Amino acid sequence: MHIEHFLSISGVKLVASGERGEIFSFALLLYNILSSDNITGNMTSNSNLSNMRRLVEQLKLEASVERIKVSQAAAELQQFCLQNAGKDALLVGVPTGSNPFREPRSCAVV
Amino acid sequence: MAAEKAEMDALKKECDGLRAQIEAARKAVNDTTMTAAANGVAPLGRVQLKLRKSLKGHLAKIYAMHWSEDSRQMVSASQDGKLLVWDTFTGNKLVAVPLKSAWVMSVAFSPSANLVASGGLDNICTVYNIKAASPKTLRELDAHTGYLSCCRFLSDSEILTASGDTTCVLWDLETGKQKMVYTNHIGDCMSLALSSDMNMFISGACDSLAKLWDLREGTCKQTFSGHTSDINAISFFPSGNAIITGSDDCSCKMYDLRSDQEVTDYTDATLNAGVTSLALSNSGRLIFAGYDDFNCHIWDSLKGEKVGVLSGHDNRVSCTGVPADGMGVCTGSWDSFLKLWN
Repeated sequence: MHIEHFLSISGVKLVASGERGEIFSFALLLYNILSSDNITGNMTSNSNLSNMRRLVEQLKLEASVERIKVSQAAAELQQFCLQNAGKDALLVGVPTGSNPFREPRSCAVV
Repeated sequence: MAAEKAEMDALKKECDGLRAQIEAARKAVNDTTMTAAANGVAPLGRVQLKLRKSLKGHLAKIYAMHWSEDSRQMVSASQDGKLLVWDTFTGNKLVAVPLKSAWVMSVAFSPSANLVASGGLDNICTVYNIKAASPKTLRELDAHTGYLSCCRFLSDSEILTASGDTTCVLWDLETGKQKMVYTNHIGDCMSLALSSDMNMFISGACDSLAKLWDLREGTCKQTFSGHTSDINAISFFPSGNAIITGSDDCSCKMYDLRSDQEVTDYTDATLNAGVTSLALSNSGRLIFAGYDDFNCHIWDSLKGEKVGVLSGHDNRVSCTGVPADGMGVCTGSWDSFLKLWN
């Protein structure tokens, strides 16, 4: 993020030339302090803290999940595929006569 | 100030600890890979589907399509500013819905087929009654602060939306109000899918994460990482125990919900195009993934191999869908055509 962009979105306007150097270095200092936090978009330490607390609660929730072995999961997925393969039209093919998307070839007797 | 910094440091440490705990728990159950476990499964051989119909009617890029539960009607959305409802058996257009905003990104059919919903860069999800004499706007759901990337009906009275504002929202169609807001993603939400019992849903976002949510409680139950770029497409495996994602990193991945981790990676060195959309066949064995390379590639979900390709579009395949009866696949493209294959 360029310093000018940062200054414009934070509503800070650069004033007349003489003090520009000092204002620029102050803005740079402010920018460094505020952007050093990993959680972007928050300008106050209070909201950073509450975000962090929420993140910890979320991670606790995700950590508490009961996990089964990948070998068991894989076996069950395979079993599902193989059990349903016979009914999967895209695997076994659609008989010509009953293909809903295919134009009927036979002529109707009027 | 010092007390806050101390608490912040303690929380950061706790986060790191929890992340390490999750990784260790995942590793502990990672006793094999899906592809290794599928060694004994007979290979499919080449899957060759034929083009049965090319649906012509849209005048600009098609961005989304959705099958009706009757497996016959289908709705498509194009940036020509129209939604078209098709009878895929005859190829006829049944209804044309003119949109207020042409910048549409998503479309959905309600299970009853009475309603369709669409939305896009206008940030609004508009619901239309298409059974009326001429399509009537039923509701304009206007609360997202970013584009609408995906919408799915639970019933004629509830709809779920995903947005570029990083949230997903459950709406009450009778009042037009938000019932629940799901916040946890840190990037634009691009896609969502409902579980068949409608108690859960999954979302994929530009933060390269896929998340499993408890629909009624509003909480994120599990987070899946692994992709290195935006996730554009997401779907449940038909058994409901796994999810498949498609990403701009040119790969698709399968994550098992009960092992809480990635179990298969569908990549090919020759495929250097992002995945835009995906759909699974009814047994879950075939994954149809639409890519930016103008093709829809077919993967064997168990063995992780490419088994076929649907070629025919002259531009990016933007949307893919398999109807409930599994009798075919529909692909929609920026070339303005929809194609039906089986």
